[in-house]
Amino acid sequence: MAVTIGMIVASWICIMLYTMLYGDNFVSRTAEHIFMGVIAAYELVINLEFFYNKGVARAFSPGGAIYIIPVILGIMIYARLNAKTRWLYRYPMAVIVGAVFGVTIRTTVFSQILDQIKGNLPPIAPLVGVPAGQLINNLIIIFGSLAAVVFFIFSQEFKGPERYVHRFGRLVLLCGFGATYGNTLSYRYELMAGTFISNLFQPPEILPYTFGFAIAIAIILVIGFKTGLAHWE
Amino acid sequence: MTIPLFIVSVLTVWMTVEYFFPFLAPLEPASHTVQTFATILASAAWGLGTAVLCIAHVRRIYTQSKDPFWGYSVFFLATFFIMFLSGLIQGTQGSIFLWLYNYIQAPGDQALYSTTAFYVTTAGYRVFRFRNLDATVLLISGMFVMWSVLPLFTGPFPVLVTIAKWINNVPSVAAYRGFVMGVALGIIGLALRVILHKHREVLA
Amino acid sequence: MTERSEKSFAEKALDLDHRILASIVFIILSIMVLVPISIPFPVSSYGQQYYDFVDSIPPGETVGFMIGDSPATRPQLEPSSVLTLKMLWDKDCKVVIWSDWAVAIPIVDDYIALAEKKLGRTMEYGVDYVNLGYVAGEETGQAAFLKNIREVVAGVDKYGKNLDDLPIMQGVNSGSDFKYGFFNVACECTEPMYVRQWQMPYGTKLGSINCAMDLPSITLYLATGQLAGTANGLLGSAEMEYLTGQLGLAFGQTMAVSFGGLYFTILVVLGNIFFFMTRGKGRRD
Repeated sequence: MAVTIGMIVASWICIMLYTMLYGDNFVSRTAEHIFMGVIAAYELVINLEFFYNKGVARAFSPGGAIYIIPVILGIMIYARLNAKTRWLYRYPMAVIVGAVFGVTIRTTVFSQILDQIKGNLPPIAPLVGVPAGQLINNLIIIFGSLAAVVFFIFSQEFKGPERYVHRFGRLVLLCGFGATYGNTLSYRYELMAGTFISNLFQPPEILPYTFGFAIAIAIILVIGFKTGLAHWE
Repeated sequence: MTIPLFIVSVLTVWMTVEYFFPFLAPLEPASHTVQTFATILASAAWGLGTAVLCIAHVRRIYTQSKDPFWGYSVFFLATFFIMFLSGLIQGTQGSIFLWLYNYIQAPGDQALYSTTAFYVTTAGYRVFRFRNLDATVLLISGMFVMWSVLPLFTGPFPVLVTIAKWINNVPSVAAYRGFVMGVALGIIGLALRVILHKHREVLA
Repeated sequence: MTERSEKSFAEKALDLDHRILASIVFIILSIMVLVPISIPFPVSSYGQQYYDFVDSIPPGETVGFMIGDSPATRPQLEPSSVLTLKMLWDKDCKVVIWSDWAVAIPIVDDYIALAEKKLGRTMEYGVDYVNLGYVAGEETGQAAFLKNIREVVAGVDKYGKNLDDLPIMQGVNSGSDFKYGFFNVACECTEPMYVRQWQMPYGTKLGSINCAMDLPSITLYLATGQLAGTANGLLGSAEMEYLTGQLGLAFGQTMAVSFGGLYFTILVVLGNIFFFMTRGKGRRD
């Protein structure tokens, strides 16, 4: 596969950003600022396009007059940039916050409370007519989840026998967070392997550019630090 | 602040109640329209953050004597305006716009995100200890689950998959069930505080 | 208390510069990527469950597919997403695609092209699939979108075509019109959002394509039946490649990741050994 200028630039950007692992330096800062400029503009363009197509254009199309309301509210958001007009910003934010809370809590009750309680009851977690292994598992899930909820009661100090419930909840939560950490570890290495494959080492024809640039950057950084032109931060 | 908080309370209560009570069904189209408005407003809000960022960098260049790193802001603003103008002029399917996305944004995103792998490695060496029962439980469950998704371990030792499956399906489910229920109750509590105007910080 | 001028070997080892540790990770993964090897591994129950779920979707069904992938997670999740699309199109399923994240827009186009390449034929836009583009607003946007698609996207697709003119969108205007759905949420941890706003109100059977980091919260919804399957990160992609017989990049990446995990295991063991050595000699608390 032929190597394009874009592939070379992608490889070099990655190398420049990886130099931050050895200490903040002018190479990584430059790459970070270039990256930030591109991503900020990208998100802005995509969202402004959405705002225009679904708001502005619709407001001036037949039957869409009501959509002038979010257009005006959307412009009011920018009032926050000036101290004197900052109060106008609260109105569009109120609509956003109200809508977010409304759609979230009405379904949270079902999916995150009631359905989870159902998960502790038959037929999902039966205690009768199941093999011994499944019975033990179901008991651990039931008591473990209750103990985990008890752990989050911070307004009361647990003394006496109930402190064992608190302790058991803590151990169950730690086990769950350990599982999360184990998955997160493999996820982080997957990110790195993916970056290497996508940008640094594939196609094989890009290897001379990758290693050549890495050596050049290393030399520049060493010379920079030895001569005092650059500093470890 | 009173009227915006009142708007928050009315919208939250309205959208919650109309979901549970069928007699409020005639109000549903209006509720959906408000949600659509919120969708459009969310896209407009992105511009605010970007504007603040650009203003900060312009200010850094303008007051360059106070900040030794003002030169980096030049890079930021240059690439920002090239990307922004190419998106405006050529559109989001334009060649320059997509080139910058594919060869600067995408690899930059991958590289920056993947640096966390180095930090978790160092953290594992310096922090993960069998100090007490709690740390041991955390460490052992983490290691078994990590091994179960790596073929180097599961190939020779398939039992790791069984052990990790038990950890994921029993204690982890118990933990997250309690955690999720606690978080859900917290969200509802926060929403109630916002509705009752006890938590004004949501509107800054 | 006696002054000690020299650190013990264990103390020096524990104080090892993080840059050396980072460099070793870099070298190990580079070698494994440059010289990939494959070791057969058992398919996990999650991978089999997800594959069976996709396989169980009846031919000709109209399926919703939210692709919110990111460039960072693309190498891990691309095989799962592309192979899911391929399996659906193999059965002449119709796929309605949209995104909840702006960075996913070019990725969606690439996934469609890659799936067509694997199929060996081009799918007809508006008949076999439609791309509704980016829907802003996170949870509120998705809730509004799944309630009334045409109102949120102004009745047009990503390219400005009227949805009523597209055969695939006949009779499709809400989440209840999808009996089956998929979402690729990259690393956003927004799976609960789709359970709340898609599965729960409309009863759609959902499959999740997500990063490995999200598995513990996913197993919660798998246990209650709120999710039908998960393609979990790179392993899920490798399993999909194996089960569909389309071995590719994910399969090769898993070994590189495995050696990273081996290195981490060695570091944890050594770190604990050195820690207890220093503790045993009473040099540290």
